This record gives sequence, structure tokens and C-alpha cells, in this order.
Amino acid sequence: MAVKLTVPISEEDIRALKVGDQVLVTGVIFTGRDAAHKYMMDNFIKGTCPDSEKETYDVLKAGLAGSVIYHCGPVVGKTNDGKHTFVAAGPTTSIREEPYQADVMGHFGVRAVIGKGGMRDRTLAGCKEHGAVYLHAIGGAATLIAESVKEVLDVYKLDFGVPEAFWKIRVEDFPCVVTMDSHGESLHDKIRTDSQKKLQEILAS
Amino acid sequence: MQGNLSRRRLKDGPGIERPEPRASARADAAMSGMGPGTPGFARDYCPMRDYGEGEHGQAAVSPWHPERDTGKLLLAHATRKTPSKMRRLGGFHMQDITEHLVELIKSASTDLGPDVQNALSTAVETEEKDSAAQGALLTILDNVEMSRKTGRPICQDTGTPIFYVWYPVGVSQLQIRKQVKAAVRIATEKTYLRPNAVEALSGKNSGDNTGEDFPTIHFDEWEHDYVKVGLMLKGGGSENCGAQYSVPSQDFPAARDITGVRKAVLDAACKAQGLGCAPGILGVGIGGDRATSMIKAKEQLFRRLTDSNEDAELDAMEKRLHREINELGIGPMGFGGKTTVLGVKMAQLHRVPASFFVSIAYMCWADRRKLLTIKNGSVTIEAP
Ligand code: SF4
Repeated sequence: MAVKLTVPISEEDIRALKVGDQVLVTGVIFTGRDAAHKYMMDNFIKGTCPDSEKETYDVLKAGLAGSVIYHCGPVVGKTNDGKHTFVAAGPTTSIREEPYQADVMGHFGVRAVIGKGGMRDRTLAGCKEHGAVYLHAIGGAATLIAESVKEVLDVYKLDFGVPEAFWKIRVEDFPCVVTMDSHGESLHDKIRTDSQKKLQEILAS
Repeated sequence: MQGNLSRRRLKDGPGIERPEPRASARADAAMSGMGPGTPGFARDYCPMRDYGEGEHGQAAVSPWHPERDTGKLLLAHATRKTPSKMRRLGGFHMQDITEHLVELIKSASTDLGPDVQNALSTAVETEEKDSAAQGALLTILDNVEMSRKTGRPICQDTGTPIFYVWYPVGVSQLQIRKQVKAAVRIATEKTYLRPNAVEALSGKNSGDNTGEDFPTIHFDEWEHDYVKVGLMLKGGGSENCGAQYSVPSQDFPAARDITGVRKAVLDAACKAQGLGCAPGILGVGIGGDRATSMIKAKEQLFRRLTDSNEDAELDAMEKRLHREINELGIGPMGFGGKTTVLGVKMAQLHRVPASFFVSIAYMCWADRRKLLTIKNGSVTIEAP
């Protein structure tokens, strides 16, 4: 029923997916939202990586290839032995990253983006070009998703604040649905068009 | 706890706690028509229904009473009321309810009400087997159980805490407001709530969920002799899907009647798609002004999903819209499917002839609301 996606994810795995497929993501992935995307764009994609950011760049470059960016601002706790844990980790609205997402996918070789609400044309084109997908997590399922985060491995750019930092995490069977695939299909566009048509029918009845 | 309560009792002040030795106060109250023996007492489970007429034909003070938010006026109000009325009710003692409010917040944040959970379970059966829609609902239900077991917030966006306080004549709003704010701070510290209050323009987080008019508190003095506090946690994603229509307008040509209302609600539901974490629940306020209309819409979200509207016309429209919105095919999370909303709840208010507002409050599936009742010294927390 659900397809297992394990990091590193190959282009072949991605091209096999189509909208509506349910997937379970396993492996080491990164969280990143507004500040993180702007940072990657300004420093690494538009700019020439300043020396101060070289170390972070190397980590991201190595870690994101074949991996996943998760749009999430987690609630992070600490265990008794001082390790970070994710207390709640539901997805945040993805559309805010629309200006950056396609470039970030292309530059770092990201294979999937997890978020909620879907994204628009630029990202859809990026998915097609770079062999990537948009995965929709279950909005509000914060506890369940936090359970699937098995380990918090590291954090980068914590100066952005806890929700905005890059958290390197290991997830197991993180449940998502493919809503934008690498063949130019967007479930969001389809549902929007279909429901608007249906609305007119209902109003006419 | 008991010691703590008595220490905090105000000696001659008005209050809500009736200690045993003064049980005669109960008889006094009943005789003066205010006790639990009064006909019409708790005539309906939903506290919202106690708006409008008081039991003696006077209008009950509604949450948008002009004196609601002015500390100064409240003081004057309390002093004015104290001498005659309060002496008659003498024996009630104000207790500190902070700890109960903390429990209320915990319960709302971590334990989804049975009406919503049942509706989600039923929806699983109506969706196609193994579909993304069914998968989403099953994940949601797993999450609900997990949160209940671990005492963790159902969703990390614990939203705006919206309190509704119904209190007996003479209880101090100022004190309750202080206790609500204190409870919110404690609950934030205990991670039942995520710090969510940010300054409007700077975006600076206050860190403890309090701030300018944050949390929201609606006060309503009533003639019963006990306190009831409703709490709703209203997440941002769902709140963004709310809408308000001025009917008719250039962009929205519709009739100023129930057909126009239907059109507005369907339009709002279609615009929301799955973005408010569908399946949602819609509260609809018809009439009023822009503000009261939306307040009324939000109040509807307190109604039990399985209840019926007392107004036959609205009841029929609630059921029709519930069916029609689900026919749009948006489905859970907007994945497509038969469950776009779990319910539609409507109410109307008087309006001026020139205006006709239809306000729609969108609540996500994480419909977190609970009621705290403090009555005769016993404390209960339950879902509406
Ligand atoms: S809309 Fe509701 S369920 Fe979705 S993220 Fe916001 S609070 Fe959580």
C-alpha cells in the first residue's frame, strides 16, 4: 500500500511516484523553513559562499543530496542526558518557500520536500526538472510525527531560533502523500479545479 | 488544595465557592430564583444557549458587553453590585481557580472530544479503502490516541486560547482575568501550549502566551450560582481559512436570505480547500455587525457535532451544507475524498437593515475545546 522511501533516494525511485501515492520516509533528513531557505538562497545560490558559512555549506551539500527538506518548526525538548528530542513536529505551510524551493532542490540535489498545503508552478517545474517530489504530511499530527523522529543528530544555524534552524534528524516511516510529482502533476491543482467545477454545479442545482 | 482554597477566600467578597457550613446560602439563592432548582436551569448542555434571555426575562449580559474589557468600569460595576445583591448571596466565596484552568488547558490541548473523534472514525468508513484520504484520517486518529496517552499537544500549533467565562453576579472579572493569564503562563511552561503570542508588527514573541488582548477572554455574567469556563484552542492555519461576506457586494452577488448564506458558505469552503487541515468544522454567523457576526460564528464551534439547531430552517441548512460541501470532493488535507467537513453550525443575530453579513469561522479537525464547571465545590472538565 504505502511505498517506502529510504534516504539516499534515487531519481528512479522518484520518477516511479505519482500523485496520490502514500509513502513512508526513512533516513536522515533536514528541517528548514523561511529563514533557512532565504539563507541558502542568499549565501549559496545567488551569493558565493562566504568563508564564515563554508562549514555549514559542506554539511548541507553532503547531507541534502538525495535527501529531504522538511518544512517544520519543531517544539524541541532535552532529555536528561542533554540530548535534543522533538516533542511536536507537524508540518508548516509550504507556500512561503515557493520563491526558493526549485533553486534549492536543483542546487543541493534534494529529492523530496515535505510540508503542507502544497506549492505552485515554480516548484512543480523544479520537481520535473530535477527529479523531485512534494510530499504532503498530515497537518496537525504533531505527536505522531514526533514519534517517527527517532533521533536528533545535530542542529545548524541555531541563531535563527529553534523553529527556523536546520535540524538534522533521523526519521523512520514518516507518513506522507505525494501531492506534486516529477511528471508535472499537482494533486492540489486538480482538486482545486474539480471542486470549483462541482461548486458551480451545486449552485446551479 | 482545600487549604489553599480557603486561604484565598475573600472574607466578605462575592464568590463562587460555597463552603459547607454556609449551606443555607444555597436555599437563599434558590428562593431568590437563582439556584439549581430554578426551572430552565441547565436547560441545555451547550452554554452558548444561555445567551439572550435571562431566566427572569432580563437580557443576559453577552460577551460583547461594553463594560467587558475596561478594568475601571469593572471595578465600578463590582462595587455597585456588591452591597445589596451580594449580601443576599452571602456565603459564596471566591476561590482561586488557576489550577483548574491549567487542567482545562491541558485537557483541551491533549484530549480531543468524543464527538469529533467519533466523526473522524465514521469518516474512515466512508472513504475509499487504502486511499490517501483514508490514510490521512487513520493517521489523525492514531495521533489523537497518542496525544491522549502521552499528554502531549494534539497539534504543535496550540493556537489562540479563547476563553468564555460565565460567572455569577458579583464575581470579579479582574480576578478571573488574572487567573486565566496565570494559568496560560503555567500551561506554556508545562508545554501544554506553544508560546504563540507575537507582537503584531515586530513579530516579537512574548514567550508566555500573554500579551495585548491575548489570550482572548469573553465574559458573561449569568444568574446561575456557579462558574463555567469554556476554552477553545484556535489554530492559525484554520483561522486563516475563515471568511466574511457582505451580501450582496460587487464581487459577491447573492440574495439577502438563506440562499445567499448557502452560497457564501459553499464559496468559503471551496476557497479553503484542505488548507485549514481538513476535515474542518464550520461555524457560521448571520447578521450582526462585522465583529459580532464573527464572534457568533466562533461560538457555534462550541456546539456538539451531533446536536440539532433549534431553528428548523437553520437546522435544515446545516445538514444540507454539510452534505454539499462534502460533495466538493476536497477531502482530508485536500487529498480528495468525501470528508471535507465534519459539520456546519449556524446562528443568526439581529442586524441593521443596511447590512447583511455572513461570517464563517473555520475550525480544523484538531477541534480542541473543553468546558470547566465549578459547582458546589466540585470541579468537572468535559467536552461540550
Ligand atoms: S490548522 Fe489546526 S491541525 Fe492544522 S496545523 Fe493549525 S492548529 Fe494544527
